[in-house]
Amino acid sequence: MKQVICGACGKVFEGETEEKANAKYLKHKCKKTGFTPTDVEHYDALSNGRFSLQSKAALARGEKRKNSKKKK
Amino acid sequence: MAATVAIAEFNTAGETKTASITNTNMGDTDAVNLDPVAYPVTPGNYTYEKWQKIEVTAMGGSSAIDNLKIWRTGALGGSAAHLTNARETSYGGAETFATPIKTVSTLATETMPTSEPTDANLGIGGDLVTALSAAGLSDYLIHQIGTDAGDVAGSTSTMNYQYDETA
Repeated sequence: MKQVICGACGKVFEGETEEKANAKYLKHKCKKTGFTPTDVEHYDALSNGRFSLQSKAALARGEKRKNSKKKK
Repeated sequence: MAATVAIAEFNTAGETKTASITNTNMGDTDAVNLDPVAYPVTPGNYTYEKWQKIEVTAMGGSSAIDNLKIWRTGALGGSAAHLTNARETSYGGAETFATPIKTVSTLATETMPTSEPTDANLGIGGDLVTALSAAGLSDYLIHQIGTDAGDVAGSTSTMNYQYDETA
């Protein structure tokens, strides 16, 4: 059995494969944040809101690269 | 909406995954979020390797995550060396997990960059140009600190894990 542990609340998820354990992890509502690991709010709660700022910067870099490729 | 991205760490022979880690402390035990005061490295020895991945848990409507860059900011203590498999040239591809070791790593052999790399230095699917277009994981990032016999104290520095996101 493979295990995936939520780094925030410590809950352990098991599955025959990592993918199956991870699927359970992704669906759980974290007791520490009150959100699932697919919610932006989960990461903002863990980083005092810094995640959204980092995400915005990642989007800006990605769009800039896409636009520079178009110009070429 | 935006993609949700976090760092996952894998430990022990069972390759147990801890998702959304909150630090990457390194020391003399193969454990996530370890206490380096409780597990110091004897000068002249190596920390356990860290085996980590960048994980996209949801794309949030975006089309691509790519250009993964890894570097450290802040100095190490004494003459310690921080080594990694991440590199911009001669990238070794996706490594297969092996139980983290505290002897010299044969995979983490490149000096960890101390400023933002020009291009990607961690791959997806074994190369540096592939993008994630759905939830998934990067290749393994492996890193380790080797200390010098004359080192007398540890240090605190920042690991940077950067990605680009395309809407």
